[in-house]
Amino acid sequence: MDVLKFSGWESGDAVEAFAAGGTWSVQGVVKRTGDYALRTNPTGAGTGYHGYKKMGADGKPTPFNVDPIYYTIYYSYATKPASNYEIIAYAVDINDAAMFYLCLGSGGNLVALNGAGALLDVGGITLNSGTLYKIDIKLWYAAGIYEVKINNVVDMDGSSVYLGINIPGAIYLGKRFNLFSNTVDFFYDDFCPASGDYIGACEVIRMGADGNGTYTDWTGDWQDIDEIPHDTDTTHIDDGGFFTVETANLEDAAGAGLVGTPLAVAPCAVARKTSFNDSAVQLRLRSGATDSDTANATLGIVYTFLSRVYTVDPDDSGAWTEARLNALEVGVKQVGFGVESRCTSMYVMVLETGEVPAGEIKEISGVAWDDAAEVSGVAKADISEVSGVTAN
Amino acid sequence: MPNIRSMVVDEKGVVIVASDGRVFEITPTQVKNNYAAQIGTEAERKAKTIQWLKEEIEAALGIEQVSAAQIIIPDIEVTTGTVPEVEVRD
Repeated sequence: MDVLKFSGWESGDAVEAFAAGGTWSVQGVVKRTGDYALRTNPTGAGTGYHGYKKMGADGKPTPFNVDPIYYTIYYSYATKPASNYEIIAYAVDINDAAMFYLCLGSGGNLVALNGAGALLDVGGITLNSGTLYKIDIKLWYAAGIYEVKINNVVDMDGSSVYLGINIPGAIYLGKRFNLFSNTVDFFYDDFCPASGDYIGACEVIRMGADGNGTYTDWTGDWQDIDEIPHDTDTTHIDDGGFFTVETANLEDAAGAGLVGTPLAVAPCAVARKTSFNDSAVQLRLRSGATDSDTANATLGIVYTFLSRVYTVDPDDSGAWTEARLNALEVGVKQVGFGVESRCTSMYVMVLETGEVPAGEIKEISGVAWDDAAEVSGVAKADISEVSGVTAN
Repeated sequence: MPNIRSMVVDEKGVVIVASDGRVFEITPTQVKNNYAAQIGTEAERKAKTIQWLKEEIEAALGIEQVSAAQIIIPDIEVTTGTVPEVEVRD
């Protein structure tokens, strides 16, 4: 299993997406973990969505280009379609052509459509308003296989179905297209596409900058790149010439909210060029004494989000631990000539197992979760999570 | 890449809040008035109004956050001034 990308919308805006359209917000009112989550709430025939790919060798978005692919997303809704169904996730191939539609029906059930928009199946599980669900989607283009799970239970699956004309490339979360002119209100948090298998229970935390790092060649310091969401040109650092580097220390993982086992790390930066000359930077992750840089990322006048997923610590190829997270720095390296690159934000995202939300627990001490009225004297309705309990 | 916190695209108009908090707002009446001031065929007038809209968004939010070239507006409804779809893409 390999993590291709992950997001908890902890950038506070849409920079992690490659596309965003219609009515949506990155907001902090309704969320599962961290400070932010995605809300898409178009009215009538309107749309509302974000599009996601993996991050390439240069730190910019590039198609997933894997088959099969396993998507995991935590989802809830406040308003379901009043009639028929509307899209909640729309998977496309490497050329942005349709592969699979996952919809929410007016009865609270999921609905699957194939790459041609034809009905595949209607799920048997009813999703309730205001309840968080872990939704897993497997798409295997070559075999025509799809699978949809809700809280680890298979709700729909099939084989030899039409999944478009090429392998998976991207996914849109939200109402990508209007189908039946229904007003909807959807929420998404802690999203992870993977190859090989589903990631399992997960959450995303952000480790923010809290001091200057090993390299301080650029003009400005860590206090110019610590705003969430970023503040564009209000505060920023500027490069100091060819091959100059700036890195920032990060807050401790526990302080950032780490409660489980780290699964992957993604350094992030938001940068642009400030002249008409060509400009490029490399995104740096410093772990211990090891510097890991991306390939050159050319910059435009518009701020660009750069990120790269590391599933093992590049310092020793070992699994991530809290101690290893606490030794990280994030930074940028100028690789163009002249003083022309600018960075407004740097931080590290961490994908971790987290604690197990109550909604994912099947049973406690032999009592089915759905049949339990209380746990250890606490009413079930008042429980949001149970520490240390393994799902399933 | 979209350096945007939120967007609203509905019958009341378009509202976009950039990452740094700058806001773009436009009403259907403003869109309709711009279309009425254009000359040419309906398709030409639509294209000019759509380009004007993109440039207004870029000017309001700043080119360092959104450029007109990144904005996709497939169509406008000229009788009401409604903008059915707005997308910002890498």
